[in-house]
Amino acid sequence: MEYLVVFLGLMVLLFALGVPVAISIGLTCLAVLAIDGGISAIPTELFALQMMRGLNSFPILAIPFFIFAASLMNVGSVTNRIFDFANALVGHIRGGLGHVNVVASMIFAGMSATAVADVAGIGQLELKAMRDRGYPMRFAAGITGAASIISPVIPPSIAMVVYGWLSGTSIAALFIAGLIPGIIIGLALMATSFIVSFWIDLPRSPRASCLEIARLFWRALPPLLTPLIIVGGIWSGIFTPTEAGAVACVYALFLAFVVYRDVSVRDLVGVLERTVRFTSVIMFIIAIATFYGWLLVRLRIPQELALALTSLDVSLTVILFLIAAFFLVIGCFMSVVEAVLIFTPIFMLTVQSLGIDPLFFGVLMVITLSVGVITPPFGNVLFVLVEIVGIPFEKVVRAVLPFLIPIITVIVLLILVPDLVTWLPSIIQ
Amino acid sequence: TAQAQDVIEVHNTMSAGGSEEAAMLRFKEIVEERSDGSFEVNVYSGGQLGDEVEVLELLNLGQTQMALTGGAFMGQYAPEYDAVSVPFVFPNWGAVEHYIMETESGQAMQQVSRERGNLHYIGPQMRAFRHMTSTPAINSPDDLEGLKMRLPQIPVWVDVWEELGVQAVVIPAPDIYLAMRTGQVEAHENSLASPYTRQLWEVQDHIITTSHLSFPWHWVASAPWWDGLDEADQEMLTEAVHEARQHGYEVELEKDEFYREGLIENGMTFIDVDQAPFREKAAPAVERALADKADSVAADIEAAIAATEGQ
Amino acid sequence: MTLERIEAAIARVLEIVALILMLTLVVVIAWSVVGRQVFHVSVPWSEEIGAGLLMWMVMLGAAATWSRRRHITIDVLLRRIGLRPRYALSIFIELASLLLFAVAFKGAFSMMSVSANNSTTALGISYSYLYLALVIGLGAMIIFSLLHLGRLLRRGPSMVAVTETETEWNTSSSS
Ligand code: NA
Ligand code: NA
Repeated sequence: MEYLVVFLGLMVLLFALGVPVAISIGLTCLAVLAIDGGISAIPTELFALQMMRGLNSFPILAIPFFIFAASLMNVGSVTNRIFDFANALVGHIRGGLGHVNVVASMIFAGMSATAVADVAGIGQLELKAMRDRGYPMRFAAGITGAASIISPVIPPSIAMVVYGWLSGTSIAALFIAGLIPGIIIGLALMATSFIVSFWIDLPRSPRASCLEIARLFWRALPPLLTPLIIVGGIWSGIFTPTEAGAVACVYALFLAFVVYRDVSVRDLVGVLERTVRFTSVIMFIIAIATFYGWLLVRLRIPQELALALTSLDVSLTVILFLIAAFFLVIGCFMSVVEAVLIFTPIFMLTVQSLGIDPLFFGVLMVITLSVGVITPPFGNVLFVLVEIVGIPFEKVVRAVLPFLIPIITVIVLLILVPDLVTWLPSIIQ
Repeated sequence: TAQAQDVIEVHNTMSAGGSEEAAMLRFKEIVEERSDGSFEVNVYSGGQLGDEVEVLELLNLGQTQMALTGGAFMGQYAPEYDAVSVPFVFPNWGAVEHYIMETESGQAMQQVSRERGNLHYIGPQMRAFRHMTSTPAINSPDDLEGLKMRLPQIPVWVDVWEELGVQAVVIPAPDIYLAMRTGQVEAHENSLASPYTRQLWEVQDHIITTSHLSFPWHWVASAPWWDGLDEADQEMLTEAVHEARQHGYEVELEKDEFYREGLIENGMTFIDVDQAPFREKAAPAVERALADKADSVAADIEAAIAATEGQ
Repeated sequence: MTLERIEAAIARVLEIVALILMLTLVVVIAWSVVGRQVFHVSVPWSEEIGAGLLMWMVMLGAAATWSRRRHITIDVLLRRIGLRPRYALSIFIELASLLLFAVAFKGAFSMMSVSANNSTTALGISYSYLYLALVIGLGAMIIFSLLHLGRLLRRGPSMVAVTETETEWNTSSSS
């Protein structure tokens, strides 16, 4: 266990010093090896072998595909169409654009695999609409940030791809397991908007006629099909999650260049550039973190943790609450993918020995860690909000924090009723 | 004797609970007892420290010590002597073991694996014979025509089964159940553990006892590590492996019988086909596969079969 | 100045190759789905090609991104301290990165020959070609880091402000 102190302590220290995340993780590995057997004992080939193992992977290929598809949709008119449809659907209910914001994010979550793609894409649109209608910026920034958490929960999800790949859990089943929890988070946030509207004036949109709803539905239909294609294709076994990503890319290209023709070749190159940069940066971290995870297993840290946790004399529910609380704290300091990379190998043996359903554990892990995108000090969504909204970091934090209440309530609910996660995949598995 | 507390890591890709883990645990027990605790054996099931190919690389580098590995190393390092991966060649386990351990070709396979992959070969471990499962009943090779059958990404297997008339579908193992449920595939082949653990009775009706292959595990060690041990330890470890192999063999037989009963209990029908027509129809593909092998292989296969006739 | 131009040109070339690989990946995997579902031909090599090209794309892309200093960094501390300590820290970070790249590069280079006899199942491609991606990507990163270190040492603390990490949603976050 003394190794765990070095493993986590040195890494966090390097993070804090501003050493790039990938380099921090790699240097920590080298330090552990040097402590173990001296500098000369550092096996350089082993390092290369593990990097290769992290990179040469078919499941992980889903990441660039889903990033590409969502970026392409953000460039064209797709997000507008989804927003307008959501507005016609729920804009007139008490809570107004708060509901629209959540529903649009729930729909967009069916195409986007990260929280940041949500705020930076459809989130910008929602914030602008709320500002135009005189919504208090505090509420607008808060609900937009909170709703972005739905993206990594409803499929597709990069965090779930990484978890499934590392733990040997079916990524297809994980995707389907995320559907109900994602929808519950959405409903909880809508309930919050509803309640808040009794304190703050939240203007509503006029009720749209059925004809108008039908017209906007028709206008949004092609993009609305994307989630159906992704989930339907995986559900029916027509394609794997990785292949679903490629299909989503082709469909996004089809919408952009054949149906709407609102994306230029220059836009496409920009989207490709962003995809490649994002993917390579993330996957370079994955490559080096693969070595980190391997060393952990070899130094038998997961084995010791499993032993310690399984010998605790408390119920499984209590252990799950402890783990969830742990991930909520970790999420404040690490990004979701980094944390999944580092903690999946540590916890997998515990999950097996306690008989926890790995599907349930994966969804719980992804949701709890995802909360970290809207908590200080390193919440990525907060940084994006600061840039879009143009108010100081501290104010954004205060705007978002109240929305943690409904989200944490949902997490508690999921731990108490795990069937909410495992029921849907059990129908097809 | 070894220096205090030398660690021996043993790897295998199957999840814990099978005959593989049982054999590795027996090995651990024997070695730790007979070395008076100077060796500590750590068992890694379920590919915890890497899949088959990665563990081969670790062994090659001398970064780990031992593995109960699958057939990949023969395809990588000694394809010209690899007859045991070809379906419909060996009729029983004794013949497979005899071919690897007693014939010229088997010895050559071990030697080449050492030269090309830094592997010290110790011995094969039995895996139950593979059969096929299918939605429609199969009584003769003619019934295979156009059947959508899942096969792993092993070119020889795909070739042999296509010769038999199936339409090969290559999908990853974790997706087998889903693919059968959605009708993407109608059949697959494996030892009985596969339909039992995947609960294929929910999606398949028949098991056809083609007994086309026993695809063995192999006990191997990293040659750079092995060569650094003194002779007494090498002998002790080799003996421990042979006892562990025997234990694995017994557990595998028990499990195979348990799966058979379980599958019947859950409503699957066993069709005990005559293997001869299958063997006959597959022959051209089998001959193609064996044509690429070294000159000694054909004779050594016959010798192995002859030596174990009646088993 | 010319050195910087050469660096930018190398980075651009690496990035363009990575872009082409990305498009190729979409085509190959989409084709394997269509091939299987529509034409009933299995494309057993699509997974190997997919994983291999992904590895190349990532290593070339990561090198280009390293040249642009866009790898994910938690810069809360960097933003809050004075120019001098930040300068010292920048030099430390560059040296630490170089150490890591050198270790991985040496290993990858050696693995190219160690692993020459290992090949992929479906296509029989030697793993050497996969390790080559690591060698080229890490090699480029070493060159970029040396150039950056040279700039830092030559121009002193004033250099730090110029190369401050930019936060951009699409490169600075992963969730
Ligand atoms: Na939103
Ligand atoms: Na999503």
